[in-house]
Amino acid sequence: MKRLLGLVLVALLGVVAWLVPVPAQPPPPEELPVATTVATSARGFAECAWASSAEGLDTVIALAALADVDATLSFPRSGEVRALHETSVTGAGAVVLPVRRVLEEHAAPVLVEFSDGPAAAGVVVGSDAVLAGDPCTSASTKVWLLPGGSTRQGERLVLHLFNPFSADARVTLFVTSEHGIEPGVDESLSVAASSFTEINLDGQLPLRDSLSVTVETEEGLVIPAMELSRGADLAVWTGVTQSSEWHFPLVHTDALEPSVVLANDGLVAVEYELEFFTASGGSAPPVESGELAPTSHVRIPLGDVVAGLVGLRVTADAPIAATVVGESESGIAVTAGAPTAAKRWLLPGFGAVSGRHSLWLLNTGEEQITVTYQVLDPGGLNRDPAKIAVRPASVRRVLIEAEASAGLVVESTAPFTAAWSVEDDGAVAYSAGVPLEE
Amino acid sequence: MSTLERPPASDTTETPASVLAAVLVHRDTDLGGVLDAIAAQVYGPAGVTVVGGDEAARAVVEERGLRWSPSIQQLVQGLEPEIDHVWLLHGDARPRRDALAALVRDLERVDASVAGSKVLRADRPDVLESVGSATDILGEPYSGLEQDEVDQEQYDVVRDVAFVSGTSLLVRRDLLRGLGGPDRTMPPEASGIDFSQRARAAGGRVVVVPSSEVLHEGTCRATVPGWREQAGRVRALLKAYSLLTLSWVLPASFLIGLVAGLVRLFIGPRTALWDWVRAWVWSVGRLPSTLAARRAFRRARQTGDEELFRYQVRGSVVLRSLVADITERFHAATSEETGSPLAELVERSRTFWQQPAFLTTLFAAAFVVFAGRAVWFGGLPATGFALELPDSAWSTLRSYAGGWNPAGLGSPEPLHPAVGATSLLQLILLSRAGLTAAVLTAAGLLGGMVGMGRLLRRFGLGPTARLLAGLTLVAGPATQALMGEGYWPALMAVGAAPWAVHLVLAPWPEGLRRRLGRLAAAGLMTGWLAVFAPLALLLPLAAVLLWGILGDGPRWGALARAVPAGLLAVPFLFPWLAGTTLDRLLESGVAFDWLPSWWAAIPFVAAVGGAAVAGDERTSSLGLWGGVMALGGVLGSRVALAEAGREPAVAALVATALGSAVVVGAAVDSAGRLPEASLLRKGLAASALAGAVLLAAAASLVVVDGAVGLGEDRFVEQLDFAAALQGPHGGDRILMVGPPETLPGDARRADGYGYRVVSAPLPSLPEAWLSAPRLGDLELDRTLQEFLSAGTLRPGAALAPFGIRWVVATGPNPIESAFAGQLDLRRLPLSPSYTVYSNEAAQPRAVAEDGTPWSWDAPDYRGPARAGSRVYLAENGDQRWGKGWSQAGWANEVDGDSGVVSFGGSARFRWLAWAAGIELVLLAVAAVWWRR
Repeated sequence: MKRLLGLVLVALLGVVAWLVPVPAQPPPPEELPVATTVATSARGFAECAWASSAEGLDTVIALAALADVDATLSFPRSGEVRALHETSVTGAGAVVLPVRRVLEEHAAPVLVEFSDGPAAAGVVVGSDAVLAGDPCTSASTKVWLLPGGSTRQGERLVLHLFNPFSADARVTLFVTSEHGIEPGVDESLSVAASSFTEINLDGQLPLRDSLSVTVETEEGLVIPAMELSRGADLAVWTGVTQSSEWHFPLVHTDALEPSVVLANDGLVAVEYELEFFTASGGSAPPVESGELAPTSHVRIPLGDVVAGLVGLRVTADAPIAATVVGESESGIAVTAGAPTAAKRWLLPGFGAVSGRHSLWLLNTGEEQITVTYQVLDPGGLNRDPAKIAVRPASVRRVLIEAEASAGLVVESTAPFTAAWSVEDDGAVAYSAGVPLEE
Repeated sequence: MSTLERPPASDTTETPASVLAAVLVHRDTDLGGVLDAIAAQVYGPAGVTVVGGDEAARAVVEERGLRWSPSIQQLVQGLEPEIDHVWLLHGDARPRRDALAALVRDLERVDASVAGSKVLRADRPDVLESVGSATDILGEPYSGLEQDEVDQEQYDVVRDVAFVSGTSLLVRRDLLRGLGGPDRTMPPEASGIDFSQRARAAGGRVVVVPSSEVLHEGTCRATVPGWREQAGRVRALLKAYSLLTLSWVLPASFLIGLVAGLVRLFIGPRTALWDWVRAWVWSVGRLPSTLAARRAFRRARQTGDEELFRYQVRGSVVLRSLVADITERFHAATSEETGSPLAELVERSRTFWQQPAFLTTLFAAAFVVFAGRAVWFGGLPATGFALELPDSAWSTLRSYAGGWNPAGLGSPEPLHPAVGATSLLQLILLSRAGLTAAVLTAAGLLGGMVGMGRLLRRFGLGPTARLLAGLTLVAGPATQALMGEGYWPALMAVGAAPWAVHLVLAPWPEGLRRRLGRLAAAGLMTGWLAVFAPLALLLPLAAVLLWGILGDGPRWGALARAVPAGLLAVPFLFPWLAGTTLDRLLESGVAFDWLPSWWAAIPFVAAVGGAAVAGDERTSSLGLWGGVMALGGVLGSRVALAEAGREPAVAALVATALGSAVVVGAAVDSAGRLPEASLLRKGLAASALAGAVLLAAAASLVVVDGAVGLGEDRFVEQLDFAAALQGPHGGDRILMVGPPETLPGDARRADGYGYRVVSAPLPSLPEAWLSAPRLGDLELDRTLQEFLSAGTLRPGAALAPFGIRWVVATGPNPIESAFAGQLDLRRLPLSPSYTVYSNEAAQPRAVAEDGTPWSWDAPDYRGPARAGSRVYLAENGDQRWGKGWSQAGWANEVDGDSGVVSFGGSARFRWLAWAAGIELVLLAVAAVWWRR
């Protein structure tokens, strides 16, 4: 009897032990997701992959902040920090620093570190018949896309790869043009820590009407930027990550013919839609749609579509990259869009060079919004804020006198997108804004 | 000198040698006996001189008309020219009638200088006492004779030997004069060795003449304490060897004697260490006279030490004897015979080599040697909780007794009791960390196998069953699971578990003192079990209760021992127990995710089922007992994995190991106990046997591993760079990130990875158990979360306030991918397998205001003493960190004017640690003395 009871007990224990539910162990991560931070907001630093103090290019670094911050600018080159500059911004305010004052180099990419935030940096070039501008990024991703390039006659297209970090980077380039995937470019290359490299695309792929570059980082990280010069003018834009929605408050100015370039790095075709927003607004903006083949890009001229002031929203059923290009015989401007709307934006570099400055606002919502904007200068908030209403589903351009300023802060009670432009003597610069976290 | 009857004329024409018989008198010598024996010699000596002795001896001399000499030296000086040889005889010797004739004949025949007789015991004339001997190089005699070996003339050949007994030896007159005779300050055996060595070094041959038989009463030895022989041998070394030989022989003799003395404290005779002390004190005290004798002998010396080496055995006789005694002890402990009468010992020694117990002992010893070979020769592999012991045991004990717990970013919480026990042993072993780890590992393996043998012997199981059970205990699936997780302390718990259960299950001995001694021993063993697996403190009680339910025979009385033994063991967990809560005790750490694989489960089921159904009453009860214990342990570990933490899981797996071992033992013996059973029953028993053998065979995996199942070292080589690159102030800290099971000791868990901070260059055992998170730990956690959520450009600067100089990734983790875009962690190819980042913004874990780094000299910080200086300590904030304390964020800032910053500690924990230590001593004394 005791044996039987003992056996029953043993069997019972065995079964219960076997059946005790235990928490499922998470599988060991085999391939961890790459830490990707999209530049949807300003962070404690900004990486400016392109800056130059070459002869004829008066480049300035514009630093804008909403609070008192110290900023450290370091200029890495050939594995070391070649120059270091420290400054401070009285918030809310903005300062400019001519690159030539710190370093005289043809290429002088810079890393900006802020002691506090919100703060943002941008690069602006303003010389004779040359205008260019672009906010510096604080994004980090393993895959960057740079649509919007071309190597037509008289154009010079240079890809800048900036690695300010402590680890060497190894990158692979994929280039597509109107001919499809382009072989023959340096497909795999290394960028040493604290250094940068330049790839002359017009030399390797001349006479292309449209070029889009994908930079895939296998080890480390790089910040890419594209520099496109046509005639005397220059356009500079930083790489973007992919998103299924892009907002463009700035599509064209009077001087330039607009086009939008969409790039699909994926292996499946993507359906996209273009929604155009006018100044008058409307509940049903005109829409164009199409399909973007895998590993390809498309350049869609907007000259025939756009009449007057227009904003653009691109939506797709899978993440894509998008830029807007404006071009004329003598001018060129390229800017990335914003992947999301925000309630507050910093526009570093606004007013940093002389010219006609415009603030561009896009409200894709269904309610009218009131936008408050205020010019930032080195002395802090010395000027009164101004307000402007933006109708639902509309775009608005505001011309602003921005003498001696270096930035702009724009905010509203509902999400919107903001960008700015500057025109002078046929030269035009487009620049996106930097959204701030709420 | 009297003239005795001369020997009959020989058939040779040569003049027979003239021999003087010299009787060396010692206390209680019956001179009449030896003089009668001399008088009866067929080869009559030319004269007889009595050397030494008291008034009674003098009276006998006068009565018989013999000569008397106060010392051998005076005798030698006064030797008459016609004397050819001197026959030196002990007063308690009884030479047979032809003893001298044989000596004279063979001494001259082989042209020897010294000839010794075969010595037989006077009380048992058929038993050999000496027939010439070898020595080792330390002068230790090695006769090669078995104890009480009967003389069957098996050694009867004249041969050269290292020494002959001083009981009866014939020496050529010239040699005796040259050497000055035997050294009278030495006891008989040492004197024989000394004289023989000097004779050989003087160019003479020393032979034994077995045809010369002398009976020896042995009273000469009775008056001399044993340590004097030891001292005499040291004196003999000093006199005979060259300085070159002495330069290493003397230290070796000293150390071997010390080791033997220490070991014999445990295996007896316990006076060996005291004898060793007295021998060396005597030798030092007699050094002047020894050196004088050495100088005197130098004149007579003819050959080098190599002539002495020719007749010596290799190795150390003392160590050989020690090993033999230990083996005998082990054998006696695991064999089924009881009692220890001499006759039984003699009987067993005759059949020793053929006994299964000897073979199983040999097998067990070989298993221990091979299973832990990596530990014996290369130290403990650093993996999991198997971490290096700190250099200073005393410092660790300071931390243990209410000091600063150095794990992670530090804590005032007490250290795990395993650290206290380990460091206490390390202190006893003169802070030898590697030796301590090896001793503990060996104790776990050997203790477990011997303990299992003792436990199952109580139940009447045979040696094979006990051996296989022992293997299953220390290297079966459950223990492998524990070792596979790197939980090395569990090996000691496994080793103690059968002892703790055995001591409470064994019936009370006779007498109150013995009972108290038993209780003390049970408390000690339960305590030893508990310090390495605290919740296993309940294991003996649980085992007793289960045996009460499932066992046979009288069994409930064991409760009366298990309960007090458990209570006695509780203080051993202090102060750790006082510093923890029930929640932390049950839920801290992560339980091991272990479920027996099919290859272990199926044999286990076969073994339990077979033993329970087919075994006799005893093996059936044992099978069920072990089965319930093992499966209860498995269930406990599963529940711990789901609902609790590591400590319950460790205790549960120790129970599984013990239960599995009992099952294996029962299953092995169940087959052999069925001579008259049905075929079905025999079949079941056979399947039980097969299952048991398969379970025990799992131990072979541990032998292959060679590191008691701990696997390969994970940290020593990998973190070697931190030692090479550390600054003068030390290595600061390493942040290790990766899958939790790849990290040393405990890990803080985050989403999909684990991390922890360790001291550079290599984490030590006290750091294995992390305390509850405090301010600094929370801040570090927040910092790492920020890396992941928002990224950071300067993670090195963010980690610097924690004293983190290195970041080491031991496997896939998301943190590392956040380091791709940053500025101040430089990836360096410093580790063979891990990814290493050097923090270029690092700051020392303790630093003065002016930037001067302070060193972590556990458990204190040290730096330059500067009046008015303040020191930042990257330890979790605690106001007991010293003078002028203020909180610096999560850390501390204190005055650095004294050059040392120490944690004030907890007086309560300190007293509790002392209480545990005092209880340990009291129980140990009680267990040793009252159980005798």
